[in-house]
Formats: sequence, C-alpha cells, structure tokens
Amino acid sequence: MIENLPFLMVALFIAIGLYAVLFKTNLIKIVMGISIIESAVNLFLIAGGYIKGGIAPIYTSAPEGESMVLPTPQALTLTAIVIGLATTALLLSFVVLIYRHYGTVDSRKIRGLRE
Amino acid sequence: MITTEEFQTLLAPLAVLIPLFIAFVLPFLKKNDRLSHGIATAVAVIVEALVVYLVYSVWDRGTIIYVFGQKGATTSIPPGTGVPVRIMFEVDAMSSFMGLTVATVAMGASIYSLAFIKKHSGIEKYSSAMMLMLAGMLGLVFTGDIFNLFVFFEILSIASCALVAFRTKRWESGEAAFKYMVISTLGGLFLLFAVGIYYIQYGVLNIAAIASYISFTGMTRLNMIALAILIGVFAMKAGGVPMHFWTPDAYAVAPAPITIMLKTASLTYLYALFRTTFTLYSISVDVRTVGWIIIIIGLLSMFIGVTMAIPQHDVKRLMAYHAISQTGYMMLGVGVGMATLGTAAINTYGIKAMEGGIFHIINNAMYKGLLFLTAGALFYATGTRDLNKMGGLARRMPVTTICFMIGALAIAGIPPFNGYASKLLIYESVYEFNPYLAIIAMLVSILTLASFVKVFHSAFLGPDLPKYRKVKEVPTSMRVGMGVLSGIIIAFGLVPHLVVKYLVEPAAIALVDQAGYISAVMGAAPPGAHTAVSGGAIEGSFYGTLLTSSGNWNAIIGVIVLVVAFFFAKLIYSMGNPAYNKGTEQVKPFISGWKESSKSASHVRASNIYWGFLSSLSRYYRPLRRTHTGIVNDYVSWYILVTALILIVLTTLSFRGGVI
Amino acid sequence: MNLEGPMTKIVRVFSNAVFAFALIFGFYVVLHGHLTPGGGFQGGAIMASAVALLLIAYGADRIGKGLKKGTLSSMESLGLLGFILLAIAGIASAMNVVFGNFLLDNSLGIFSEVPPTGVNPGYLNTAGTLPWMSLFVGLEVLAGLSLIVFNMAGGLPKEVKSSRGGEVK
Repeated sequence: MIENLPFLMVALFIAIGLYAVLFKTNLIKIVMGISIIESAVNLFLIAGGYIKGGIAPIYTSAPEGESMVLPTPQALTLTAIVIGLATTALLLSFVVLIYRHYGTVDSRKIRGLRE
Repeated sequence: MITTEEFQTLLAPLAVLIPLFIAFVLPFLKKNDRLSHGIATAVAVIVEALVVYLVYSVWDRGTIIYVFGQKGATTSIPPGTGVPVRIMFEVDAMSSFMGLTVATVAMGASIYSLAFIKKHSGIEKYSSAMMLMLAGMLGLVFTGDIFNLFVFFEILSIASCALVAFRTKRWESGEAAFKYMVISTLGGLFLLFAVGIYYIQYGVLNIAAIASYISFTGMTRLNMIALAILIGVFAMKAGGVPMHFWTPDAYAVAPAPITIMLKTASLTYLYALFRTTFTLYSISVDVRTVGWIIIIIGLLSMFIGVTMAIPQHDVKRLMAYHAISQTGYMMLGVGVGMATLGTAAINTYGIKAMEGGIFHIINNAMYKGLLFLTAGALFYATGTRDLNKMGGLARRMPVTTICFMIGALAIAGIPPFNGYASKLLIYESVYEFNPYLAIIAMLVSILTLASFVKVFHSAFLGPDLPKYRKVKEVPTSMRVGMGVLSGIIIAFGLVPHLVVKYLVEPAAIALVDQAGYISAVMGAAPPGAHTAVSGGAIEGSFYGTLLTSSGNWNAIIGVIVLVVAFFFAKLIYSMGNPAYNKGTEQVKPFISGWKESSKSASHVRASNIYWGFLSSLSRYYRPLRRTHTGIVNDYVSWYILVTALILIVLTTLSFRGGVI
Repeated sequence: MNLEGPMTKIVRVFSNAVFAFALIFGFYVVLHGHLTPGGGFQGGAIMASAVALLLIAYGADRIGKGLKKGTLSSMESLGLLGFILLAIAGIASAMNVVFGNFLLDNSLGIFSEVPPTGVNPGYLNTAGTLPWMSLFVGLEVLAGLSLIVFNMAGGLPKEVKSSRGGEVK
C-alpha cells in the first residue's frame, strides 16, 4: 500500500487540476489548474521510475558493485518541466493580451467568438 | 564525398534540422524583415525538394531508419543491450506521404505570405515561427519514438498558438489563441501520461519496440487506458466532433497562410492517431470496437461540421467547419479499414477504404489550402471576412474567382477534380461495410456543395457594389501560391490512378503492415503482429482507369465527355437567334414590375440565402448552436467527457461477432 | 507598498549580495552538468531567478535602463544557434551522425575522456560535447527566462484600451 501512495497522489492532483480548469471562471485560475496537472504528470513519471535497490545514476558518487537505475525518467521529467514552463509563459501572455482588449478575465464574458 | 545511400538516410533529419536552424537564425534579422521571409520561402522550397527525394527513396528502398547519436546511424539496437535505446527517425511510406503533404502546403503558404504579410510588422518572428511549425510537423511524422512524438507535438502546438495570436491589435486574437492553447496543453499533458504508462510497463520508448511488446503481452488494463487517452488526444487535435470547438476560432482568427499550416498540422495529428491504432496496437485490440469508435467520431464530424457551416457568415469560420467535416471523411475511410483488420475483408474493400481515406488526406490539404488562401485574398482586398458585406467581386478579382471555383468544386466532389476520385473510393468501400454510412457521406457532400454555392454567390456574384469599385486583384506572389495548389488539384484529378498506385497504395500497405515496421527496428517481427496485405488491383485495362472495390472511374474519359458536351451545347446555342438588344430596357432587371432600386438595397446578402432551410430546421439548430457557447471551460469539459466515454466503451463493451 | 518602484534599502542591499552568489552557483550547476545532477536548464533557471530577484528589488524601469535593447534576445539566439550547430557538426565529423559525440576521442585533448565511475572529485575535462551543450543551453535559458520576466513586469499598460468593436472587422 505504501508503494501505491505516489500514484494515489497523482490521481488526486489531476482531479484537483481538472476541477480548477473545468469549473473556475477566472482565466488565471485555469492556467494554475493546468500547472497543477503538469506537476501531477511529472510526479507520475518519477514515481514510475522507482526500482527497488537501485542507485542514483551519477558517475561521481557511484559505489562499487551496485547497479544504477536508468536516467530516462529524469530526462523525461526534465523535458516536461521545460515544456510546461514555455506553455505557462505563453498562456499568461495571452491572458495579458485578452485583458488589454476586454478589460476582464472572466471566462464567461470572453465570448466574442461563439457558435 | 558521401554515397547516395548515406545521403538518402540523412534526408529525414536534414528536412527537420534545416528549418530548425533557420528558425533560430531569423530573429537576428530585425532590421531587414522582408529578407527574413525570403529566406524562409527558400528553405520551404529546399525542404520540398528533400521530401520529394525522400518519397522516392522510401519507394525504392523500403523503410529507412536514422538513429541519432549512434556511429553509422543505422544500427538500431546498440550491441550489448537488447532494446533500441536511442531516439530514431523511422520513415516508412505513410510517413513520407504525410511529409510530402506537409512540405507542399508549407511551400504554398510561404510563397503566398511573401505579399500577404507585407502590411504587418514583426515579420521575422512570423517567419521564424513558421519555420518552427514546419520542423515540428515534419518531426512528428518522421519520428519513431513516442516521447519524441510528444516533444514535437508540443513544439508544434506552441508555435501554432503563437502564430494564431499574430495580429495582436485585433480583439479576437488573444481569445482564440488562449482557447486553443488551453485545450492543446491539456491534450499534451494527457499524451505525456500515456507515454508514462508505456514506459512504466515496458521500459522502452521506441514505437516499434512498444508495438512488439504489446503484441506479446496483449491488452492489459493499462494499455486500454493508454489507448483511450491517445485516441482522445489525437482526435481532439485533428478536429473531431465533439471536441472541435477550438477549430473555428483558431482557423478564423489566424492569418490565411497560417490557417493552412494549422490545417496541415491537424492532418499530422490524424496521422499520429492512425499510427497508434494501426502500428502500436493493430490486432491486439478488438478491432471492431476501435474501428467503430473512429467511424462514429468521423460520422459526427462530417454531419455536425457541415450543418454548422451553413448558417455562418464569416467566410473563414465557414471554411473551418468544412475542415472539420472533411476530417470526418478521412476518419470514416480509415476507420472502416481498421474495423476489417485481421479479417478477410481487409483484402477486398478494407484496403480500398484506407486508400480512399489516405488519398483524401492529400487532396484535402490541397483544396482546403486553396480555399483558405482565396479567403485570405478576399480579406487582403476588402479588409473584411464578413460575407454579408461582400458582393460582386468576380469582376475585379478573376484569378481568385477561378481558384475559388476549382477549390469549391474539388471539395464538393465534382468530377473531374481530385475530390471526386478519393470520395468515390470512400463511398464504394464504405457501402460494402455498411450502406447507411455511405448514404450519410453522400448527404454531407451535397450539403458541402450547398454551402459553397452560398459563399460563391455572396462573395463573387451579385451586383457591382460602389464600395468595392477600387478593389484590385491580389499581388503576384499570392496568385502564384494559389496557382501551385490549383495546379496540383487539377493534376491529381486527371491522373488519380498514378497517384494511387505510386503514392497512396504504398502508404496504405505500410500502415497496415505492422510486422514490417517492427522488423525494420528490432530485426524480426513477433508472431502476433499483423503482416502485410496485398492491395487490390488499381489500374483498369484502359489507360487512366482507377479501380475501386466495386466500380471504376476514368478521369480522362470524363474530361473528354465534358469537353464534347460543352461543344455540342455551344453549337446548339449558336444556332439560336438572340432576340434581345444589349443596352436597352430589355435587359434591365425588374422586381415585381417595379424598376430596381439601388444596387446596395437589392443585394441579397449571405445570411438571407438559406433562411428557409435554417428556420425549418430550427428545432435541430437551436440546441446545436447553443452548445457552441464560446466559454473555454465548456471546450475542456467536452474533451474530458469524450475521453472518459471512449475509456468506458473500450473497457466494457466490445463487439464480438455479429454485424452492425 | 509601492510595487512598481524600488523596494526598501534592506531588500536592495541583501539582493545585491545574493545576486552574485546565485549567479555563481547557477554557473557552477551549468558547468558540472555532465558530472552531477543539473546541467543547462537547471543552472539557467537559477541564474534567471537571480535576475528576477534583482528585478523585483529595483523595479523594472531601473533595470531596463541598464540593458541595451537587443542584448537578451541576441544572447538567446546565440545559445540556440550554438546548440544546433554542434548537433549538425556531428554529421561532418568522424561519427557521421547528427548529435554524435565527436569530441569524445579527439586528439586535442579537449573534453576527450569518459568520466570515471566511482567516488571521485569530478573531472571537468571529460565527456565530449556534453559540457558545450550545457553551456549553450544555460546561456539560452538565462536570456529567455529573463526576457519573459522583463516583458511581463513592464508589459501591462497603465490604462486599458479595448478595441472590441462587436462585429467582425
């Protein structure tokens, strides 16, 4: 049960993030919800890379006779964090652009392009 | 220097790296930004040449792989390990076909932008982002590694969102870009979740390796979740209903050349959907269920897309709804192919349906691109996208009118253009699978023609309005861009049998051939993989006949018949005696006996054309139009709902035997 | 509390001191990317947060006056160009493949050995093209993130002008 705890937290974070994206009407809260979901997926990647009895894959601190884990989950998570940073920055600049034209950040009022 | 074979192997990475390199160089050219777009156009032409040579190489040699970072670049499994560890590009016939589509459309868009973008500022950022989009699209179709697919997915989303918001002074840019970006990022995160599922189960990220492991272990609960997520993400990005709400907003707001790049990006996501269902899973999954899911999404897209297009009065929004509808055709054709995978029917009408769907991809990119470019030409000339304000422009813009007519006839599926050939393949094959689907497809085609008649009348025909007296024809580079695409439409329409034989059928066979894809990387195919099928006969005995599964079509004879009929009609017409005198009262229009008032007052606007049709169907239209609210939370909730629905269907129901 | 201008004296003095340390620490993380956890993006983000700290302490106008107009943008493009040129240079070299590690056993002795395994103090002169790529990525991330933070700090206009006309123009 204790090994499943990270995955339960992933499910909880995705639920919280989806609640923020689906039900909150402030655009910045929607961006925050996306950021929470991104943290949850990164946690999923790292938690899934756990190998019992493995050693961290660092050359300069590796003791003799042990086996290292593959550094692939770390690389995947790093790339995902960088991509998340770029999308958050772009989303927030779109919010600034919308605010400049509409004067509000309420998603129910930003409905110029409908049907 | 280097041998031909080495250069052929190097083509796919070069086609991705050169636009990427130029995209990083272009922001330096802030002072001289016209030059920046010239460089971008030159790069687009070079990439087109590289991709054409790549199509020939793959047709000649078979699947080409390129392993990054491995000395010699072709050893997929490093010695000592047993699995392919490095990132690789794997180009089979379907990937090179998609690459050809992407590169051709990008070339047309770049040439068109030379004149179109002149009135804007910040052109070097536009060109740089367009090169990034090109590199992202080519990387997505060429890659053989699922995490690399995610990275190129995100590169493409970010670059296209930035370009949708290019006109920052208009009020609609930020809104459309934000809505597109929210749902796109969410889709990307779910895709990463599915990649995580594959990595945690199997420890490899290579598509061929994952496919061979899935065919060995079968469908576990986790694989089903991953399949549901992947179908949801790629169908949403391709514009499948009911997750399509971002499509009209983003396509209408972006500048016209960017809209056609966005449309081609949607086609590459459709390719990614086919890659997961045909190569990753193939016959390990219950093919009837997955095939029917794709068919139902395709049917909904076709029908709802075209019915929402009829009441629109913004020309690019109307065309965007048609883009959704045409995506439905492709999903229908390839979905029928998926539903017959592994059974005997794949050899008769299944592969033909897939050929129809895949041929429709390149046809759709060409004629939809042409239509969006003509809409851009209308915007450039008149300054508005509203059909209610336009009228009578055929006098002033003849080249645009002819290009629009070619595009509209092609999208409606009128012979002898290329739309007819691919739609015929789809109709006849789908009819053998289930007759009702073909009937719905034909009904949608009629409605497509109806809405383009509306656009043609309100924009081009009609009286000579005073405010458009000074409108001129669009500049040369825009005409060349449109001309390239219309030339390809006419060429593909005249020789569809050659296109199907050399381009489309290898692509369809390569898509079905899971064993070939896996063995190119792993060296041998696992026993559970789906092997190659042989395509049916394509060419009839007479030159130029394209054989479908139950009929044939010869474009050259069709053109000859049309020309002969035209001459007969002209002969009969000239035998008559025109009994009217030009320029007198005899030829003036009268309305119920009264003389016509001013031209602007008697101008039949776009919203008036189908009012009877719309008001009689208002019980269907009112809830449908109320569903398209425009609130971004609703867009996301439809996407989550459909993904959950696909997951429930996959885990509980499955059609075992029987006929639906 | 005025959020636009410089903050109080204590904040400014302390942020001056921390700025130097943070830059050096970030550069250390970038430089040892092939030996310890870290590398280009992590070190670049640390350096950019040092710049952001300075931005908060002094206000956007004061910092904007110190920088020339296109400096950060050129730094960013230079970092990207260096990375992609190193990747393409792999084709022309002996490894004959994109992203090939062609500096790994060259004769000049620059970055030419494999890092030794086991507990050791860490030798910088190892691992081929990896330190170069870390450096370029670190430069690019520093410039890119600082640019984003500057634009967001000074980007909101004083009053809101809406051009929403209500119909499709």
